Amino acid sequence: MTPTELLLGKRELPKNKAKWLQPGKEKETIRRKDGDRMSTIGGLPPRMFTSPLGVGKALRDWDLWWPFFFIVFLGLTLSWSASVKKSEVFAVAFALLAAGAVILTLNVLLLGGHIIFFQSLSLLGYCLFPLDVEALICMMENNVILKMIVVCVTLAWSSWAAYPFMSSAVNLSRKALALYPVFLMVYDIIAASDPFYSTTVYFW
Amino acid sequence: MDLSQPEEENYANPKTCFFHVLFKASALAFYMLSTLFADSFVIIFVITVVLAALDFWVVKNVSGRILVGLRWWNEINEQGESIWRFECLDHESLARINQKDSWLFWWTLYLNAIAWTIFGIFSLVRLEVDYLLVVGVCLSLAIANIIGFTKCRKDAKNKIQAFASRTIASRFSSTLQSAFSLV
Repeated sequence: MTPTELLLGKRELPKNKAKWLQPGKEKETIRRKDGDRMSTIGGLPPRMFTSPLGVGKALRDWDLWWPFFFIVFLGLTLSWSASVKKSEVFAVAFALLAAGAVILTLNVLLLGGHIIFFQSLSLLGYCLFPLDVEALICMMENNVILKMIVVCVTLAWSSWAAYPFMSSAVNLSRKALALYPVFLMVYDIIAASDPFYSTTVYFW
Repeated sequence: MDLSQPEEENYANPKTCFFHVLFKASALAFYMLSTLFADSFVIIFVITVVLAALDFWVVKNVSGRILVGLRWWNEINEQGESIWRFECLDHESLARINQKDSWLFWWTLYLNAIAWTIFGIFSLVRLEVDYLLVVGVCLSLAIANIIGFTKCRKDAKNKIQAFASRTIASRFSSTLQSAFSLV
């Protein structure tokens, strides 16, 4: 640019903005808002506290960061509160939760349900949040009655969260087949996390 | 007349390259030297897996776009169908990609996966199921990125074909092609 042009206020043309194309195509794909879902690590997503019946964008935007954190946190709390074999408890908890989520998803798929694999993994991971709370409380509290109340509330909350999504995916006749394993997994983890609870059930 | 030697092409995005390598190297190094740092398996697991997850995020969201101009993600549309999107930059922008950046990107991606596979074999041989879990998680994250970015490459199909016909029997190469189109 010559000094005259500068004085006249002319500016350099902006650099050509790069275009994103799908491999093999020449036309630009529809521009997507930058920052895909995998990068939202920030605040807690809204879906954990809104009614799961409010289906929509919140459920469609799946991510596995929070589920990953919940599983690790649950493993850590269970491991911390275990008196022996801490590392084994952690490894088993992690493997069980991860495999459990995958198997529950496969269960729905094999029952002929219409869900998306990663979306379901994400949702089941979010349903572990009540278990995290329960494990934390049971680790710190010693009052038996309080623990029983917390356990029941957690069981109800987790099931309530998973129910609409899971039940809407399968036929009416197969709802119980899809939902029972979810309930069972939640119950088993609670039973494992609270030694006193599992002892009372055992003796009963 | 210009008699000077052409300057050696330097990394165009040194900071991005650094972060691209940093978390991979830390995860591998921490895993290898874990017995020096901590004697609790839980700590080793959590730190290694967190580093591997950070590396996954950095590669997928930052270095993939900047170093090689590729991006991939999944979205679920209004009808509830899952759509995987794989995109690359247009010709002109691709031509401007630094070769050294690109070389570093791909080689560290592959070497990372190979290293974790070797660690996995070691754990398998020693029958350490706990550590196999760590390796499994890190390996799946590495492979996810490799598959994702390979599908973005415009010339991926051609390169796979050339590689297959060069080194493997043609029957095997056609199986590979059909497997890729199914995924």
